[in-house]
Amino acid sequence: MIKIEKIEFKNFRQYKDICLTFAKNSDYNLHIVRAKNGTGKTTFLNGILWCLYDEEYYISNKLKALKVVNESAIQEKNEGDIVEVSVKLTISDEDKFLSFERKQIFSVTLDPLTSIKKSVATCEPTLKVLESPKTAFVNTKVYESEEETQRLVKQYFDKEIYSYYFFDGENLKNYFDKENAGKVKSSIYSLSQVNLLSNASKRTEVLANDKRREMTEKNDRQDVVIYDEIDKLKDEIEKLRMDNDQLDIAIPILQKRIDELNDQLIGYKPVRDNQIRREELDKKLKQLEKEQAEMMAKKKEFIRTYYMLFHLFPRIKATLDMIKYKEDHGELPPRIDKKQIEELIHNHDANCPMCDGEINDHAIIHMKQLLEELDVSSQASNYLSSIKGGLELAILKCRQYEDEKKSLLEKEKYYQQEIEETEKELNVISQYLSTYSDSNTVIDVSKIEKERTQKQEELTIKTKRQGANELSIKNSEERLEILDKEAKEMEKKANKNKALQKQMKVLNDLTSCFNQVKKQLMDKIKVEIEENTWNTFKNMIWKKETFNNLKIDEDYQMSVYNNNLNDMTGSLSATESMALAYSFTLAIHETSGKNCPLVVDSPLGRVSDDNRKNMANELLKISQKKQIILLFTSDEYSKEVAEIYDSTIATIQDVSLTDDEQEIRKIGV
Amino acid sequence: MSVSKKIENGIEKLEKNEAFKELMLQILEEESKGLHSFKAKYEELINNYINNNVGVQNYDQD
Amino acid sequence: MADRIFINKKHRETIDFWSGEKNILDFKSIENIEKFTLAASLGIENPLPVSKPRDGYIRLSSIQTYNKALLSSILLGKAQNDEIDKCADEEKCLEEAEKCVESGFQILKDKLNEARGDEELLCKRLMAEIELLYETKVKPGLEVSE
Repeated sequence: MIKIEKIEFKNFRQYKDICLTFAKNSDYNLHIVRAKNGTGKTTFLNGILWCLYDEEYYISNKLKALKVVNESAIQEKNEGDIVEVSVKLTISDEDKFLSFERKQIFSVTLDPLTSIKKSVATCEPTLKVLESPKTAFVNTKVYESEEETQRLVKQYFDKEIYSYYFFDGENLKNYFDKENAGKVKSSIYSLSQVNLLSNASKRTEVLANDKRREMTEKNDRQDVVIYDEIDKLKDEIEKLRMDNDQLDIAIPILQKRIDELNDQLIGYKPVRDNQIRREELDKKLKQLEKEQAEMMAKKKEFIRTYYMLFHLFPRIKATLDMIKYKEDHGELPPRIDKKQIEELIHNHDANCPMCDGEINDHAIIHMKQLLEELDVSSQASNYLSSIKGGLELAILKCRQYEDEKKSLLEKEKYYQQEIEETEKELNVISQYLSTYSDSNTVIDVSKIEKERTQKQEELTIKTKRQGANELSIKNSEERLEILDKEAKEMEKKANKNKALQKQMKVLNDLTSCFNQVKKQLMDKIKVEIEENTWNTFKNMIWKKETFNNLKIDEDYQMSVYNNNLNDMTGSLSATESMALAYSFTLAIHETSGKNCPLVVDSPLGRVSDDNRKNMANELLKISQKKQIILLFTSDEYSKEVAEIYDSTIATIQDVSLTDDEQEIRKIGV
Repeated sequence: MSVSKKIENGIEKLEKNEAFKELMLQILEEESKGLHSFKAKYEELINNYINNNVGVQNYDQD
Repeated sequence: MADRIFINKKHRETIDFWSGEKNILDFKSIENIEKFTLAASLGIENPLPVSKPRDGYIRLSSIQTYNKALLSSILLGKAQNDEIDKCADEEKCLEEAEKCVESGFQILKDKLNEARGDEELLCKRLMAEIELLYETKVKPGLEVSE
């Protein structure tokens, strides 16, 4: 049970210097504070509210209200003196005490016209909370920051539903309106941690969506295509390798046979010279072909170089001409740094760094003229100078075009011709040998030549194929390397996706479960409040047969139904409204999980005589489990009420105004 | 401020394994402390749960 | 300023093809800067913004003075007198070159397609073009300089 131990006032309105204690334990935790009408019961309530929330919610006209500082305290002081206002609320919660103390300083001033003493607040009110164990005064924690003090206030007496802790029996009209209902709902959800579940569920949903987005980026079916291509390439490489393995065997065999045939021809005197010549020509042809290939490479280089240079030529020339022009006209490098002049124009407080003269208007005009003449700053000048050499080289190269072209074409023609002639001669020899005939029956030259030609052709084809295979293998292996890399990236992504999938599933389950628990909790809370409100309400009112039940909707708006199931909420009497308000308030306390005290101003003010006993008894019963502080007027504390309370309640304290009506004192102290 | 008994009871009634329920409570405990950047914390708790409790087989059966 | 020159990723395909099995114009053996300058020279009349995705292609620190001069002339060669100061800047010049490369690589690709993928035919046509350029643009320009 959370209990108010004491409330100490200093200079707070009529409560100039008074401490009311509610510490006494008894079977019934019901405490009464009694005062005549107009003494300041509502101010007592406002004092607590000011302490906790820096607001006096029960003040009738905020704009025309006096300042919180006690008037007589001001009048007693001199001009310039200060008066401290404070309200300190001490509560106990199981094994600890908490004191909420709000202070505000006022200084005394004199009205210049009337010379009447007035007060001026010197600062905003400040709240401090002290927490100490019940058993000792050491280890006291002090909370002064706004964040900490607000958290503690919210924990015990949530501002949103202040009127359900500090109840004004005279002000019931707003209890059941929509705005209040919304605040109740919000506060209950906060107190019962429904908001915790809401937050958790929203956040797991956000995360699940993030994961889903991550997973569905580039979710195309590339994986199958890549693996197919990899398999295809591997097959191709395998085939080519096998082919080359066979060619590695076949080519030397062919070569060997060709060599044997060559040897046969060389060995036969009539055709020896032809064969020797042929071998020379073969060698020559190989060399020519090699040189021709080198020349082709140079030709390609020639094409690249001049194709590029000639497309750029107009720009190269224009740039070089520009640079030369500027050099000839003394602009490169510039005599004077353009940037320096620009700086001097903008910032001419200092003197000229060159002649130390003052930079006046005339000088500025002169500098501006100079700027117009100078197109180029030092930085630009350096850049142009750095590229000049390269541009000149390019122009020089362009001049070499005709000679290089001539040489290239000549070479091309030369190789073409040489190769043609060599091939022609080779053909002649081959032709001669393949039609050669003599009387020798052992060596058939034409047959040898035919075979040799055929083998040579075969060798050429196979060698070419071997070379092409090697090139294809190389290219395929390069492509395979790229695909392997891509496949690895994909596998990495797929693994990542698996992990993402797991995370998503857990997150979705969490969202669903948090929502499930939240809904159950919300339903349970609503049912509990309904039941508790109904039970208390039934006990409080005298009409036992009229009302059938009570419902609270999703927005926490209450409806009371009669036996014909008609909504009677708008037709309740003042007593019934009060009873309903109490019942609802107590139900909220119960559901919040915190057994907080209830302070009620004018608890039975609107209740008609017949119902007073019921209500008084019901409040007494409730006070067995909850601290209740009731603020009665003397009239309200009627004979019937006194009969029930005098012998049972924990404390009764009477307060009244002093004769000068400036402060409240306890009676009988 | 820790998680209320009512919520604990509500979670207990769910048809989920103990580790999952524990995960729910851990998340709510963190929420009750006031989480500013929740993503990192949530990821940590969830990955912990997956690493310790979720094999591909286990989880598919859940 | 970035530490490298960028090209659009799609041009990698053209470069890879030319450098691959067919090895057009011996692309396999030449450096990136030469490929870049060649493409830039073809696109000087049609600079286009470099669209994404971009690839870092050449480190600035590896560009020699000669190539820098050629690439700079693309912008400087068309700048008005009052723009020279602003344009004589490495960053600006290379940015302009990047833009020319955008259309330049496409021109290279088109040339090979027109030659039906036949390198010999391509070389023949390019030689003819070079000769025409020489006669119409370069030779008169060189004569003026003398």
